[in-house]
Parts: sequence; structure tokens; C-alpha cells
Amino acid sequence: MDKESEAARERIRSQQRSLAAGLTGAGPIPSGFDVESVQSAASALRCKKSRESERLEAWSSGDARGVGMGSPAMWAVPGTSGSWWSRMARRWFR
Amino acid sequence: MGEHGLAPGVGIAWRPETAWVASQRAQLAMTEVIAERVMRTMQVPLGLAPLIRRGVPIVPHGISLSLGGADRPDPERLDALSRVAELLGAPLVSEHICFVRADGVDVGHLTALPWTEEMLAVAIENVRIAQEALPVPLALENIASLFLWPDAEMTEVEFITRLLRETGAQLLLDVSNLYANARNHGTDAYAYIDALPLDQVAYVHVAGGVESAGLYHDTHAHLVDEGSHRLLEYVVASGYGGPVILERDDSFPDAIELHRELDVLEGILEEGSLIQTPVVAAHG
Repeated sequence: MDKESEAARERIRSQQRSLAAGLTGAGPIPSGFDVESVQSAASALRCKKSRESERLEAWSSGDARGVGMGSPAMWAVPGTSGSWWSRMARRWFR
Repeated sequence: MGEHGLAPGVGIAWRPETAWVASQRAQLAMTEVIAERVMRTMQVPLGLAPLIRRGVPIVPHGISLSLGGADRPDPERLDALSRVAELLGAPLVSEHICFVRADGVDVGHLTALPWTEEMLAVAIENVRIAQEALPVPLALENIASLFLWPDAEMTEVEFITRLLRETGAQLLLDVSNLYANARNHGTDAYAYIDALPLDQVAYVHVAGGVESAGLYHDTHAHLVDEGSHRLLEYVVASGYGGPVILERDDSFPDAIELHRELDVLEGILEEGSLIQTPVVAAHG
């Protein structure tokens, strides 16, 4: 691995880390970005995570159809129980 | 039929909620399944098995490789993706041109890249690593983003075209992502299509979205916008003759509505194939 390539990766890592922090609310929006656009993306991301959380709750409680997740049986492994499903769902959507 | 065994026609992205429609569809060109969901059990989802028996090509669609990330692709994730491809007998796998993790932090979203020479070099290396590890060809998808990085050194389409040229990867062209970006950033989607190597397009995605607070959101939870249909028409009129997949991930309508959406796409493919010369499209 040449040093230049590794240095490029480090610079990109730093830039992406800053943006990720801005998007997830863990830090300010990096300078140079259009603040309004990144805030819109951050807001959309929060909505997405909220919906996933609702799905997990509904799925775990057996009310899958209520949030449009269809039948968990479609994803199920034959011979496994609902409690297994809940455990897996929690792991998948953590 | 293309080199990866994908025939022209319409398909639908397989989700538990779309499984019934997929199974009902007499002509299903292909489907795709979120690879990470299959990875968790390494078993074919029950609803997908009938499609495999019918011989419908199934493409694992990855969402977590982070091919535009600063880190090289995780060998364990690549191994899992390879095993999913083999489990499903997939002709290829697809992923996104984006990053999803930064320094160990999961963004939870497909996040846009800076269109710079430095980023391009890293992405090329990452894609090559993935290609060497995967048992089948890789197709890369353009994403939708509500924002752009500052200090771009090239356009998105230039970045993608060079990435495809350097790696030999296929393109998963999402016309709805393209439409969303054109609306939000004022770019010319038709010029974008003109600049693409359409002979490297493995398949096309179409999905719905909605405008909110002045921005168009690619939600996969609404009807496909007419603007996406127009772009698909243009892609077909420009010579594309492969499969087109409808993506739906939320607020699932009933089967009749989904069939109607697929029928519209089928009509575009059929009509488009009759067009001898590219249509003169209104740009912008």
C-alpha cells in the first residue's frame, strides 16, 4: 500500500466522519455544505430511523400488518418460533 | 438477453409485501432481494423460493458494503454477500455508489460521495477488491441525495462513468434517483443519460417519491412520478433493452395498484422498443 493512497483514505475518512456527525446530530454540519440541504437529509434520516423503530416494535408485538411489514412468516425459518423471530428482528433492526 | 442472463422485461424488488404480486406476475423478468436480510439466516426466504423454482433471476442487492467509504470493503461482508449470491444462484450482485459508515460510525443511510479525483481513486480500489472477492459480476447503483459535497472536481456522471470504465463494473441505473437529484439540484437528467455507457447498464430501478418542503424525496413509498417514467422512456429510446425493476419499501398499496405500476413500466418498454430514433426530450 503506498503512502499516498493511505493518506487519501485518511483525508476521506476525516471528511466523511465530519459529515456523518452532522447527519446524525453528533456534531455540526461541516463547513462548505449547504446547511439547509444537509439538515433536510438529517431530518429524513431521523424519520427513517423512527419508522424502523416503529416497525421493530410492531413486529415484535406481532402487529406486523399495521406498519406494512407484511407477514413475518415470509422471512421465517421453518420450525422456528415467534420468540425466535422477535429476537432476530431486534438484532436486524438495531 | 445480456451477458448476465437478464432478459428484457419488468420485475419487482422482492419484499415480503410484494411477494404475492411477484408470484402472480406471469412475466417476471427478474427480482432482487436485500442481501443483508438473507445473510442473517443464510436461507432462502420462503416467499422467494417459488420464484427460484420458476427460474426467475434473483439479484442480491447490497446496502452495507460502503464501497465509497474510506475503509476497504470488509472481507466478512464480502464473504457473506458471495454466499448469498451462490445460495440464490444469482447472475450478479448489486451495491451502491455511496458510503454508509465513517470511522466505524454507521450513518444508517446511503450517503453521497464527494466527486473528487481522490474519492474516485479510493472507490476504484474498493470496487476492484469487491470484484475479486465476489463469484459473480458487480453492478453499481447511482443514489439520490438531498445535498451535494462542496468543491466537486467533476460531475456525478463523470465520476460514475470513469468508475465503470476503470473497474468494468456494470451499472444499476436508478432513474428515480436521477430524477430526484435533477429536481433537487437542477441538473440535467437527460444529459446525464446521454453521457452514460448504456451498454454497461445491467438493469434499471424505478421507484416513487414525494415532494415535501420544496425538496423531492425518493421515498419508495409513493407512486412512481411521471418524471421517472419520462426518464425511463428516454433510456429505452436511447437503446437500453434490459430489465426494469419497481422498488417499493413502505406504505404498500394493494396488489392491483402494484400490478398497475408494473403494467405502466411494461408499456414503456414495449412502446420504447418501437421508437427507431431517440426522442427529442425537453431537458431540465
